[in-house]
Amino acid sequence: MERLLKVKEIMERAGTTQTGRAVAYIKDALDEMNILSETHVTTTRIDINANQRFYEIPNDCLKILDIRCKNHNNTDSKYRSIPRSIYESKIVDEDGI
Amino acid sequence: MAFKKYGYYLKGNKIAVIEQSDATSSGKLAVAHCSGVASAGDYTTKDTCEAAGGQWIPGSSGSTSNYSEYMSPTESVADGLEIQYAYSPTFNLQSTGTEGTDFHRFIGWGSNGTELLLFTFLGASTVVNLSSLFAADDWIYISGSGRWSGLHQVKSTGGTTGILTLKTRCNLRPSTITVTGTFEADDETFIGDSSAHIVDMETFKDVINSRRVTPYIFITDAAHGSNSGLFSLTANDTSGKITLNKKISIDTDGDYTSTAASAVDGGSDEVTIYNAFSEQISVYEGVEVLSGASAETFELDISRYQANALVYYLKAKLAEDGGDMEMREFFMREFKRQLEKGVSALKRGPYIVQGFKEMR
Repeated sequence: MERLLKVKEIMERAGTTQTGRAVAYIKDALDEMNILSETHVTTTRIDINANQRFYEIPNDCLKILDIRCKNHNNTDSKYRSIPRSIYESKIVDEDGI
Repeated sequence: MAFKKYGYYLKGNKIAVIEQSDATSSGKLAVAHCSGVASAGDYTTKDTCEAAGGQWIPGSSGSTSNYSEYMSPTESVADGLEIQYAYSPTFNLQSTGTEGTDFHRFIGWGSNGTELLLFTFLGASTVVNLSSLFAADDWIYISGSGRWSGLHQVKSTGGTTGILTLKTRCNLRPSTITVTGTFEADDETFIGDSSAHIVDMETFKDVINSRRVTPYIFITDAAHGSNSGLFSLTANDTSGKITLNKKISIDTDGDYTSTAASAVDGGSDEVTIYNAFSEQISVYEGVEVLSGASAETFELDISRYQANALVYYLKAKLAEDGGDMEMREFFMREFKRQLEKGVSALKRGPYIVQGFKEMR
């Protein structure tokens, strides 16, 4: 496996010695890369609570790729992609949680 | 496990999960009639039908209740929602996953009004001392918490309170109160000792009850360890009084447990109560972060080809800072081209589309 590049090597190639500015732009570049091409992907699981409609998007999420639910369209405890509703449910979530 | 049909939509920074309810029929399911005899239609009552030797089939009807409408989830499902997402690799996790060394479990989270707090508690009465496990400014990686999954930095360890304070901003309303009150073992309750503390407790209780189906609180600094920890609450109409229901903690095997609360009698006990959310949170230490003094030696977890694209991006930004927009456009175009080439290089062969499951 090839060795991963260090920030210093990236900076040398770009011709800059300003570490703070370079690190800020590298973070921006990594965000941009993942929004465009999803180079780093992970999954997280959250408990579904009865009567709770709204769930937080993970803190480090840049782009949602799939949302799956356990037992959706099956009884084998498997996770399957759930469809995105174009409209909000007519039964409003009165408690807002 | 029950067959379910879910859907979702986005609402601001939240995912709204909706579930299709069961459908029930409405109107008449069967009309009462006579059967098993010639000219059955002539017999319109049970008596005449049976007198002619026929069998009377009674009518039935259903009531209108719902039409498979989408609504909030009807049942709790542990780990029921799975989100797959792209993230920015600005850290390298180097944890070995050794519990108590660089891997730790927490039972919930809350806020001190400004920062995010993580709570832990061991067994029935052991308050965990976090001071030897973490240090201020440590970077940690959280997983298992929907909202807080990702990178965070420790602000303070909280010593023997079992509360880890992070630098991450978080505000809950209400967040916390400090009150003096009495624990009662016979009905698992806590009530403020004076009218002022009763008012404080009542206000705190009313607000968390109005926002949550099952509210949780984390109690710290109680005189007896059994009265500290993370508890779910049940309804209590007495002003300034809360009823402890279940205690959430971690057993000696490292498993999450939920047992009936078992308070110990104690009066004039000054405790701090946090509005809490119960979640099974895993915290990893040993995180190398693209930040601070060691940033230059940080190894980026990207391929060499992607690193070349990143260099173009850096050059584009430096050109933009220098006011050379033509150069900026050139390097940004190269960045995207390089990135696309890297991605498409991994694709091989024709695309295959899966048909509908109903297709034979």
